[in-house]
Amino acid sequence: MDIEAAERPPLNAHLSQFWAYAAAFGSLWGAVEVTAGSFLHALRIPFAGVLLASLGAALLVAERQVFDRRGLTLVTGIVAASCKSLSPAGIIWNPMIAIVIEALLAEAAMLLTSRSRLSAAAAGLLSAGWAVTQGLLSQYLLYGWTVFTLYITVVGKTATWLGFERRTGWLALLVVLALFLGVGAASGLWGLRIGRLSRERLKGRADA
Amino acid sequence: MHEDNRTARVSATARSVVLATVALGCIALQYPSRPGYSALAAVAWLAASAVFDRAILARMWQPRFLAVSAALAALSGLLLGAPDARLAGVAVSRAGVEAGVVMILRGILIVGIGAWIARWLLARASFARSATGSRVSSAAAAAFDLVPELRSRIQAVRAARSVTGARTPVSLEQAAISLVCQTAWIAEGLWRQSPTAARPGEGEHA
Repeated sequence: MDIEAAERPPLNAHLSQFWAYAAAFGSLWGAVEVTAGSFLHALRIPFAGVLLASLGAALLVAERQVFDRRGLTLVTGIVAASCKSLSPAGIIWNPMIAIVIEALLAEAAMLLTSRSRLSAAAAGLLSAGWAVTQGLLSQYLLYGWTVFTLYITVVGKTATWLGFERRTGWLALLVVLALFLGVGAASGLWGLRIGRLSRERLKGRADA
Repeated sequence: MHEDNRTARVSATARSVVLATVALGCIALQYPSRPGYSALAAVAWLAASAVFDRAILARMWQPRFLAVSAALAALSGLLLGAPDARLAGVAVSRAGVEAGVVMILRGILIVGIGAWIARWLLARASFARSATGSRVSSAAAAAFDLVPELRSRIQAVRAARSVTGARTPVSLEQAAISLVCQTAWIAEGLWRQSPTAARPGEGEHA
């Protein structure tokens, strides 16, 4: 599908350019959350939140390449979170809070510049990192520190049962965490590339 | 009629004040991490919910959460501390079972208080919408209108990729670029419909 094929939907809202971009990209993120999110959760893919956060970060970084304004990333997240309430399951606070905080972290990462590889990778890494952190934080709030003592014991005993040293379990956990953060950073960089190529295409069209 | 509304509002406020006080008391009771205190806190919250807002009880019924909590409690009895008792023929540690029970009760209490806070916030959402000004709500309203449109475009891109069999990274990238361009196009369309818009072609893609 090409951009020529994209018809302008009938809209009545009166928005400035900043808010128009926030609305359009926020709804794209919301639509991705509703479609890809439902798909990933239906397949019961573990750590689907990390994948969705990485996808969201790529979208936010790409958005800032097309229209670069400070604060746009955060506002886009707020709009996307409100769109998430359209999900078939109704208002679900956890993902809505996650979307807003991920957008806030991506905004912070792109505060100085949104056009560098470092800030794009940081935006993705922080978003994916939050997806993991929020899960742990909500478990702490629900069950207290005991649940972590339990997890630590399970990791240690599993390593022992498998015939490894206890610290091998920790190493495995660290590798998984590094993998998540790596996926996030790679998504941020991919978003930078997509955004740059999209900007070129839009510019070419405007010049024509 | 006006008097009735005011009475209903006052009683709702009074209920919120009572529930907030009970919630704070229950949270304080959790601090010693003793099964007795935690049970007292959970029972007090359940009783307060039953009296003042029964809808909270319905929201607290979450079988998946309860199943996970029960599994965690069982694991803590088996894995935490040295086994010093037997439960249904299985060697468990008292300290582990106690920690598990505290964990479940704490989880139930937090879910209950969370359900009440969520209801309280939702009840005030319309007020918040008008208070935060028209820009966020206009953007959110426009976004609501756009979600089905963008959703169908995402599905069209996915369908096109599966029909052509083009599942390479390059085609994924082209699909992503197409979506970003279409979204930027929609944003420009949204802006140009508004009275504050500049001349066509002044949109920034720099």
